[in-house]
Amino acid sequence: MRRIGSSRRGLSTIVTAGIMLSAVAVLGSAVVTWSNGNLKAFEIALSNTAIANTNKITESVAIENIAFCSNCGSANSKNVTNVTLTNTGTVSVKITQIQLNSTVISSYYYSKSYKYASSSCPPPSGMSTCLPVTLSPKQSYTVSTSLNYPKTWGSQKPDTITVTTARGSIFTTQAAPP
Amino acid sequence: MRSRRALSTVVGAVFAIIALTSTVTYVSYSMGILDNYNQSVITKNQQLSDVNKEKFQIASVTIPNNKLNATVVNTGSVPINFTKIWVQNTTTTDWVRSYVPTNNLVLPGGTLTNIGKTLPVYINSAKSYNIKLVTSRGNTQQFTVNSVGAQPLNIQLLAFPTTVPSGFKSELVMVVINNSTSTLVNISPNNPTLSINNVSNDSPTCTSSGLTPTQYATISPGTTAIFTWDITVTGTGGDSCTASFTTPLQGGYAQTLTSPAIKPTAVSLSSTTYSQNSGVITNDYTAFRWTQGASWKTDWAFPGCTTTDFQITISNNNQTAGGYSLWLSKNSQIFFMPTTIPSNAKITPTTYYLVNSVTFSPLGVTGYADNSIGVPNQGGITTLYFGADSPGDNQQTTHACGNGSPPYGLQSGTSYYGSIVLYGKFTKNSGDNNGGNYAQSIPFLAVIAN
Repeated sequence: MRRIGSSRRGLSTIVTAGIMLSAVAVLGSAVVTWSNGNLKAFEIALSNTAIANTNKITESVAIENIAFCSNCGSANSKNVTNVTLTNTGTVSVKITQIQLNSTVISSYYYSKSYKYASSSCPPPSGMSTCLPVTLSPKQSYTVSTSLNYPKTWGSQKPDTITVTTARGSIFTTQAAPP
Repeated sequence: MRSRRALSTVVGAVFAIIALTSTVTYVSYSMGILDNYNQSVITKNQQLSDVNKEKFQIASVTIPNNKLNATVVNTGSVPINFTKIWVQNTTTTDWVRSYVPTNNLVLPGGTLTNIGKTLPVYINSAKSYNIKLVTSRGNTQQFTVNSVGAQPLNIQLLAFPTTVPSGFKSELVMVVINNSTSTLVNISPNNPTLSINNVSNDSPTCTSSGLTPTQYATISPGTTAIFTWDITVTGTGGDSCTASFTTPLQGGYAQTLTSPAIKPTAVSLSSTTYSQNSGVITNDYTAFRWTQGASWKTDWAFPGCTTTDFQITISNNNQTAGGYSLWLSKNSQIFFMPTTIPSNAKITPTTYYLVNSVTFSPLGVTGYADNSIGVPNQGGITTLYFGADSPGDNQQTTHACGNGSPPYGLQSGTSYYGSIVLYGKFTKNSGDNNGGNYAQSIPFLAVIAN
């Protein structure tokens, strides 16, 4: 009896142990898999954030020259401003927006066929310098911004030019029209 | 049982190792990412620091043969690489060009010359230009050529002093403040136009000279240049001289400037200021007299070794009204000192004290009663006599000649210089205890005892 009883207890113990082991293995594997997945997601998010921020702080754009054009578009219209930008950083920069005195520039002057401003880039015909544009390191680019009628750049008043990149960096300067 | 425990331990250990490994890997990766980000921040800070360290000045700008020739000094601590030159003809509408300079690198403390010399741009002296230098770090500096006439500058005219004695110089000062955003180059003023306002109907004059400096090579934005002229004016009675400009700077903007009027004044001694300029008590030198006998004589030479008395006429220029007079003390005197050291190497003054009067035939003096002579304020004139050998005495100063006992008096063949020394008190009446004591020496003229 003792041997038979002992044999039964051993079997149940083994079964129980097997069940427990299986449960632990399954649950443990699930937890490990889940945590690894989460860690991987965190890694990717961290990597993306770090890269984005690293690139953002590495961005450097110099607003090299501001040329106020009096007779571009139409005679004495005073609505076109040529903004020359230079990428002085070490990563490529995508210029997405230029503001002139807080007015977002949405039209670009072009003069290949006749004097005109277009909101599309490139314009319907002819050459233009418009946005968005990607500048490689050391590359310069001139954007022919055009204020929509009746806005003009004001003479003898400081105008504020703000340039925004795709990564969210903002560069600003002031210039006085003639 | 022992083997079952070993199995669960192994399973647990495997999971633990997996978890730990994953965690360590994640932490290590995170540290690596953060380290890269940190390096990027450090690099960015270094770049920004270099941008701030990048400094340069436009030393000079010349236009030989209508070609731009600029000189730049690197005043910062990092090398500078000029990547672009912008040229804008501000006289012509919408004329802007950019060029890449050929000589473009300058080390800290170094000087870069001939910038712009090879540009395909001819500088027209009749037109103004904005030139902008751009560095590889994005810094820019702009200067103008022939463009002081493009816009009015803050120019002021001053004169120091505005009132000068006739024939003296006043300083005309032109202060030029570069209130533009560009460096101005080769700044020289035009000559001022001088206008005379002839009030007193005489012949006033007004001339300018000595422009200093003649030119400033550069004036940076926000800085000031000062030019000065010497303005010599003559005239009287409210005449004045005014300097004006219609175009203050050569090739500059037409803006009318007028200086404060510079007024010449005559060196005058009015009744109210006479005492300030000449003294409270003044001596009429033309009224000087001496006597050795029966009459008063002029001239400044008389025989030595002879008893001599003197007469002077003084004026009281004290303008205090109210009946005040200068009541003279008996200590008032004239004394003479030889102009050469005598053989006994001792200079002894010969003193003649104030007396009441001088009498002739025989020559004598009457002793002076202390505070008995009053010279009225506000221009009172009084003749005084000197001749006593001591204060208030009626004995004349001895003029023994040769080996007598001192004092020897004025000796023959000797020249002397002397002073009048007056003591007294300003009061209404002789002997009043109020009022202020007064003393004054009046330079006398030299005399010769022959």
